[in-house]
Amino acid sequence: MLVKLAWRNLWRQKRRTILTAAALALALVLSLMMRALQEGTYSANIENSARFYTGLIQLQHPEFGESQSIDDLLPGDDGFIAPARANPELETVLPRIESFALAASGDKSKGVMVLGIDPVGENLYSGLKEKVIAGAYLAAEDNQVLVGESLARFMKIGVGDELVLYGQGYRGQTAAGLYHVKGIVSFPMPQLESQLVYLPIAAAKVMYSTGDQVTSWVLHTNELSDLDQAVAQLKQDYSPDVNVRDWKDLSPETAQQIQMDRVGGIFLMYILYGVVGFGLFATILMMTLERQREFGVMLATGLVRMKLIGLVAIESMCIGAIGMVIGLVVATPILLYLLYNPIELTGDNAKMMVEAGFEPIMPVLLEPWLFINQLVIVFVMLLICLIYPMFRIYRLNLVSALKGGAHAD
Amino acid sequence: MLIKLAWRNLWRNKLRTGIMLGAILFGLLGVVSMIGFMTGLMDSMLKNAIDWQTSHIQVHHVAYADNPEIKDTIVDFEQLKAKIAADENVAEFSARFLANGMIASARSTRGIQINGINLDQERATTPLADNIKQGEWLSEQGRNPVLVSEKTASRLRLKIGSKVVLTFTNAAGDVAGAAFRVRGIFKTPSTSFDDGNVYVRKADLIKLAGITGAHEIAIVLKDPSSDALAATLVRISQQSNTTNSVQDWRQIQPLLASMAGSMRTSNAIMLGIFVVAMGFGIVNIMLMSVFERTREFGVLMAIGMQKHKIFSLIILESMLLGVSGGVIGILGCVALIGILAKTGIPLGALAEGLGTYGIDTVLYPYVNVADYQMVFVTIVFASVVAAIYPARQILKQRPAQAMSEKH
Repeated sequence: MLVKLAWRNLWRQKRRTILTAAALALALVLSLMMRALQEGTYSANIENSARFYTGLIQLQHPEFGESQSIDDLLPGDDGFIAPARANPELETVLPRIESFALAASGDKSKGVMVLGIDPVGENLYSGLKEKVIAGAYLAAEDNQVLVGESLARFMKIGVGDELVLYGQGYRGQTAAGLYHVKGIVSFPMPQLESQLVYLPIAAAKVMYSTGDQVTSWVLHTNELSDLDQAVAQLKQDYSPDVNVRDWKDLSPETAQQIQMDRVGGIFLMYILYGVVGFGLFATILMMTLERQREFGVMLATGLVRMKLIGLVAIESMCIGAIGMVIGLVVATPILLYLLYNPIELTGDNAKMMVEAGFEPIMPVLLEPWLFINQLVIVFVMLLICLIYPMFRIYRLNLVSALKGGAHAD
Repeated sequence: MLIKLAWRNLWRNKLRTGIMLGAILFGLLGVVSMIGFMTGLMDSMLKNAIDWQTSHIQVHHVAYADNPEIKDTIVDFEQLKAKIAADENVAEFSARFLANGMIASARSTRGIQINGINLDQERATTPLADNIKQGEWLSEQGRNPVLVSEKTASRLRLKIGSKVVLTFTNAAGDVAGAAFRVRGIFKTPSTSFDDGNVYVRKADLIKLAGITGAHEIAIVLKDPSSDALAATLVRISQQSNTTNSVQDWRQIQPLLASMAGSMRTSNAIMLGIFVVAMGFGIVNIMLMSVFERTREFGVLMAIGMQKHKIFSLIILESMLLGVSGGVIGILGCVALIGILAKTGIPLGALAEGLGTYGIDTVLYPYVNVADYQMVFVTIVFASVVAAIYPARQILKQRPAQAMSEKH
């Protein structure tokens, strides 16, 4: 009964209702799209940089994070890693040797990062094989290397050429080796690509004389959202001899950039809702003030004051609901389209993203919490807008309302 | 006359006008502080990049710019140096001898660019000498001193006086290297720069490299405005051998330049979105205010006020609303940005994220006069556009009908 009345009341002022709802819908659509794009881009970047370099979680010697020294190693045997392999939340477990060396070929030399990898496992994890643009991918028993494309260009080497790696091995031993380039890889992280040399982990162990030890174990969870739980479990299993680091700790730059971007986006979103909220407030307030006489009559004929307040609340909620429905109806198809056809950036923006280590596409993330978040914001905003009009109705003086003069204030 | 009427009409419903002014003020504060924040970030990034890394103009061998090889030193270095020193707009310059190699301590090794610098020139050109966190600036005393960054020092476990070995391929293609002692530890705003650079005396490096000259001349100008910069660039290019490339900072770091450009676009889009949202609010307010006065407008029409005058009256009311909102909003923004520009916004918790872009950890937001103008014009324009629909609606009514309207 009250709902029906409220619904009819709304359409007494068609234009106003539609405009207010439209403003709300506009804010909802823009915010939802912005947040979905933001979160989508973040997840893609985390996945991307995790798979190609840091992994989501790494186990390291407690000192390794600071020193990155080849002396701070972890055991590389199955016994050590068994608890991690037994953890159902972890889908990938990979050993790595990561260190620096001077690479030389002909009259060129450059400091490079050497990654000793398990070729099969690494390919399953990052699809590294797909990124080989010349030559072939590594096999476990190879004594050959894969080099990044821009590094190869700098060193002027191609497939089959010789590359000398020279550096410091375990406990001060000299690490040196002559390797043939088996393949050249290219991926969208220029800083890495210009200094990465992949080596099968067996060859890396020999070169750095580490025996059966590795610098890190790279782990990946089934879902990004399982991360915290998996880290907690690993800490329990391995503390205190092993440092369990998640991606935020491994690449604080990325984590903080994401943080900064997210805060900026959320700030803008709240401001936008704030502006729309003022409009909503104006509408609701006018809706109550210009109908003082009507309310007076309703009260005089015996309507309970609380019911009147309920009526106005329902009217406001209806405006909110209409706005949400319009917003969702407009936003959902766009988001679904973007989910299957992510925006690809071109030109300078794309270059900027690649330079910063990001893929130049903007995927969207569609998760219920993003939608729920928006709806909660709209709802809370409505409640805030209702406080003052409610108070006015509550304090409505019957006699003067019936006389009907005093419009505003 | 019409303006006065419009102004008074506007204040007939103080509460409603107040709400709308509040909305505009709130929205403008948000947008402008966001613009100020972005501009502050960008300014800090540009300023640091120019101060620390690119200077205003750099000279390299053409081949060196593409692919840094130790044999590609600047052609006719001595003559060019003399000409640069004599140029009217050159404040300071620093000629550097560079080598790509490795730094190794007993603890660990890293790939690095070794900068061989002339101490006096470098001190005048970049803020390096004033940003030594531990130890001291290089001097002519002692054997093979080196400056390393805080980051390198912690990675390699270095202290003042620690020994490091620098190795690189020399001009003959052999691996050359020598032991250096850490004289000082520096820190720049950019983490990637810190990661990849150490400083030694030019003479020490040349002795190892087997060739003389320089790979890079970084020039700081007296007048860095774009006209003077372009003129100086042309002058130096003409005097330099054609196998040298003379570039300004925009060419050295094209991404920085394009980032500054794309920031302007994104600021405009942001402002656009907000103004549209405020526009909805203004349309709504104007609709209410116009329709509750239907009778009044009917009377005005009936007593012979021309339609275009009524139209202008409504537009004027809305425009005055926009102008007042704009003025209040901008005054509020100037005050807010003024305070923030004095106190700065500490972003220490995000130091590493900012460091990858070379941004300082205390941010001073800044808003151009041009941005304020853009904001003001947009908001007034939007308020005028927003009034058109309500005004047309009321003019559709016939006077008799309008006068008999009840509400």
